[in-house]
Amino acid sequence: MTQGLQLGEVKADPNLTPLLDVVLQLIMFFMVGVSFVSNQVNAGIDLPTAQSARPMEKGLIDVLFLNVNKDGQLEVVGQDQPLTTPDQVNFYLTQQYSDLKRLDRDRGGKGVVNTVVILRADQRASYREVYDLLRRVKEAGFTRIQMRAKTKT
Amino acid sequence: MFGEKKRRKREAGIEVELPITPMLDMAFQLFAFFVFMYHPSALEGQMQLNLPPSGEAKAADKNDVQPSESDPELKLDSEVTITIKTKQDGINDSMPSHYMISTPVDTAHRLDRLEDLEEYLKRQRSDASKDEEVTIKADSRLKYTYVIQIMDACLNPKIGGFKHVGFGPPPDMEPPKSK
Repeated sequence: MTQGLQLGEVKADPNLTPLLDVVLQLIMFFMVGVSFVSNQVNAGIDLPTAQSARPMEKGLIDVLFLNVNKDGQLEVVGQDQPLTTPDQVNFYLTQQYSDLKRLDRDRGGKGVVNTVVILRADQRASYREVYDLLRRVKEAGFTRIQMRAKTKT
Repeated sequence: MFGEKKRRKREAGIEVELPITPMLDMAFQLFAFFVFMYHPSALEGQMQLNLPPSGEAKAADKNDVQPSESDPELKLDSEVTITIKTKQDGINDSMPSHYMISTPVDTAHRLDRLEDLEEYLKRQRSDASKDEEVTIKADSRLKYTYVIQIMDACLNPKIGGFKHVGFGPPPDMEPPKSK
C-alpha cells in the first residue's frame, strides 16, 4: 500500500479502528435485540390487545402452542396446511397429550401432564372456533391454559 | 499501546499492518444481516383462563348435564355470566350489539355499550368476591377480539377485578329447549 508512495505525496491513511469498534457495538446490539421467530410461534397471527395481559412467566418450559389463524383453523408447526376438520384437531391434541404422558413416564414420573396450553388466536377468528378448540383441549385431557394477547403500551 | 508497538516495530525496520478493511467489510455484512433480522414485535402478555367445564363441553343443552357429587366441575355455575349478543342479521354478526349480564342479584340486565358494561362492573366490584368466577359467552360469529375486550374488562383490577374468567358455549349454538 505504501510502496508506491513518491516523495512529496500526501499519504491519507484513515484510522478505521474506531469505525470498526462502533460497527461491532452495533452488531452486538442487534444480535441481542433480534428476535428470531420461535418455531412454535406463528408471527402471522394478529393477536388481540388486552390491558390486563401480564408479562409472561419466564420459567415456563413445558408448553404447547396452539396458533389459530383468522379463519379459525389450527396451524401446526411443520405442516403447511392448517388443521381444518374437527377430527384432525382431536387427533392432533390427543396425540400430543399421549406423547407428553409417555414423556413424563420415561422421565420417571407418573404420567402426569402439566403442560400449559398456550392459545394464540387471531383477533379476527370467531368465538365459536376458539370455544370449540378450548373444548377439545379440555377433552384431550389438558388442564392448564393460558391465552396470549398484545400488551397495551 | 497499539501505537507504541507500531513505533517499536517501525524502529526495528519491520512494519506489520493489521488489515482492518476486510474486517470492517465483514462487520458491515454482519451488521446488515442483523438489521434485516431485527423486527421488534409487539410485546405479548398472558391471560389466565379457566377451561370450559366438562359437562358443559360435552352437552349442548344444560338439561343434558347430570351433576354428580364426584365431579365438582359439573355443579360449578358461575356467579356472574356476561353474554355478548350480536344482531344476527347476516351483516353485523361479527360485532357486538348489546351485552347481557347476570349476577346473583340481577338476572339478565341489558347493557348496550361497552362503557355501560364497564361502569356496571365497576359498581359491582366492591360487592364481588375476589374468588368469584365470571363466565363469558358470546354469539358464535362474534370476532374473538370483542370477547377479549370483555375478558380484559373483567380481569382489570380497576374495572371488574375478577381473578377467574372462563368461556361458556355460544348461546346461539345451543339447541332450542323443548317446551
